[in-house]
Amino acid sequence: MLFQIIRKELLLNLVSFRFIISTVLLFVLIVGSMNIMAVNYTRRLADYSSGVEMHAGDIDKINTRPMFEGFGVTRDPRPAMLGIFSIGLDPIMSRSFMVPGYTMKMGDQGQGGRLFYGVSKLVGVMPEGSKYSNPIFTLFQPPDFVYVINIVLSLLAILFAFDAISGEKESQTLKLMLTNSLPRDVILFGKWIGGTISILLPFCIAFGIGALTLLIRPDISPAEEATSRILVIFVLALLYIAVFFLIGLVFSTFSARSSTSLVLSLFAWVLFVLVIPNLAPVISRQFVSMKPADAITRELERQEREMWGDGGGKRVRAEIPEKVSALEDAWLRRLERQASLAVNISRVSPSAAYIYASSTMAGTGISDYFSARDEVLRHRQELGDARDKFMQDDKSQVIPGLYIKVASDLVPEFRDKRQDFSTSLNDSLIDLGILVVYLIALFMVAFLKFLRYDIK
Amino acid sequence: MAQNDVLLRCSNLTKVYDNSVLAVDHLNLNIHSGEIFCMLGANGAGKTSTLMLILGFSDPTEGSVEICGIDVNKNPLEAKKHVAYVSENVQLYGNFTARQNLDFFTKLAGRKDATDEDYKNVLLRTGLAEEAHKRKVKGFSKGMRQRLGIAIAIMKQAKLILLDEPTSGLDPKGGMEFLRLIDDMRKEGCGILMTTHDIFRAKEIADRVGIMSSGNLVRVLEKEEVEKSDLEDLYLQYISQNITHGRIVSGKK
Repeated sequence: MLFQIIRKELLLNLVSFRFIISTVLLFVLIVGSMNIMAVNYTRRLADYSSGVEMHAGDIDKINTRPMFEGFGVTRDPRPAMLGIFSIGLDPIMSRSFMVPGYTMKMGDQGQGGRLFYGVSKLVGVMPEGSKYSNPIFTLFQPPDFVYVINIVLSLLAILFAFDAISGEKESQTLKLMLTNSLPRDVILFGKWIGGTISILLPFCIAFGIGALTLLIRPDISPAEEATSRILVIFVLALLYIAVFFLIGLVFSTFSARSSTSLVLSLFAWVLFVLVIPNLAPVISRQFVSMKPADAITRELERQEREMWGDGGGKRVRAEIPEKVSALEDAWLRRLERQASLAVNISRVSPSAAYIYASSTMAGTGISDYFSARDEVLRHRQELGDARDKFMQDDKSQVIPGLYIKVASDLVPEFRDKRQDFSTSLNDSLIDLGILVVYLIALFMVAFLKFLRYDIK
Repeated sequence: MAQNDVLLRCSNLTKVYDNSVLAVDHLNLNIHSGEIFCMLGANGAGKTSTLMLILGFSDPTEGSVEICGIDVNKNPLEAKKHVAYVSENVQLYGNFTARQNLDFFTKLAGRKDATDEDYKNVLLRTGLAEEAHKRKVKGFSKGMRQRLGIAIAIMKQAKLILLDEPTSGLDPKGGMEFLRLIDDMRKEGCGILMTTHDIFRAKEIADRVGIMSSGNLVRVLEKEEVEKSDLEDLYLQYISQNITHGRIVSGKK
């Protein structure tokens, strides 16, 4: 009997107008988005390659000791290939960043810079180049795969499900079905499975075609690990669609009229997809307030000026590093707390959980962002150490104390390290779990409501 | 009639809705194999509420319903194997053809042995021309949908058939054909409970007629009485005594 219900749902959906519209929409959006994002990735990859090439020669231009003391490097993190599926925080993570010489680590005052810059974790790691990119890309972000699923497919799933029960009540077919010895849970389960398959069918085909078009692009060469990641991203999309189908199904059991079910389902969609994820950061800011990073810089500048006036350089060298470290560490901890609170609040919504899990699997999520930031800070320390070592051991001075020749291999390479698959999977498990809990809880609600559903 | 051929037994059946409306009031009714029982009554007399109780779609406040000796409330899934229902306005799945609708509901009824030939024959028997078998139901007239509804009931091979005002809105020819089908089913041994406003059709086909008012059968007439009496007068007489749509109990209004 379950098979009959599933088959009926499938057959009815396959000949419905909404299925045709959904299929066309999914093909256009999924295949289109993958290819648009692939072009976008290729452009970013070209920017990255030219940046690496350009900045690789920086060291060769150094020929004096003061130049080397103030020598800064620009580093170019590689854009994530799976940003094609979920761009996430990759535009921030893959921006070039400049580490000026005097900011590498604690040292002399440097060429006109403030001393605390030398120990600051915040100064010098700000991304470059934003003023020179096309602003229209920021104004209208290209729709990645996760965006299409999050917004469009969730809406389509609701449009497939909202009248699953109430619509059948209106047409009296539910009554006719239940005159048979058919348990209600079988009807509900059959409708869920059949309805979800109906929407997953065009999705899977569109996904397959989209992935094939990516594979035949000469500029895309996925790493071995990418396949597993894409598979998890695909499974997450399936779960997410099933959740939103269930949301529609739940509201279908809440009302005797399909128009009411539609309104309720759309309300839930707006709440889960638009309101909660956007409101969570605002709420977290209310609970964990923090000053802007500039305010810390200004405060440190003020304190440094005071110290120069009262105690001079000796006091500055003695006290500034500690002050910088305390202020910035507190600021960074608070930033992480604020982000973590926003993430946890927004997890009330399956939409947020889906985005977190998918972006983490794409290597463009929040945990990747923090790990990339730590990598930048670590690299800066490494650069500072290398510079100090060279200054102590330097034997290549052409004129002692002034002219130098620095071997390019002296400057440590920037290891563009991303989280490995198992770490990403581990990080996304909580959000994957949330989606599974949603599935079970929503089905239970729908089941309990449907058991008492008045079919008269 | 013998007690062992009772297909439907309503004992003291009572339904009071949450808003305290007494819809069915201690109803006692037996329907036997090979019998057509027509239940006459005004709107709100409790006819449809009685059918819903028989089908187990609502729980009785008091009393019980048995179909083929199986208590509907204790064992609804088993009891439903023996009952088929045709509503006043059969809708079905508009995007399915008549044949697909019939196939779906037949399989849902647990019949896996039905062949294409069976479907074709039953659809022809109900008066649906062969060209209509593969047409989508959304283009069907009400009469065609009613015929399809009865085809579904026939395919289920249920012993008890419940018909909720099945001829309302049908033209005279359609109504006559529909009654002929019901008569055939009676001859095959089905017990039929038909609610209707149509006194003339009831008189024509019923073995017994019950007049329902305020949730109870205020008068049950046997075939001979139906034929002898002026059913219309009798009906109007009982209806005029109580035209309220359900009674309020527990002093609430």
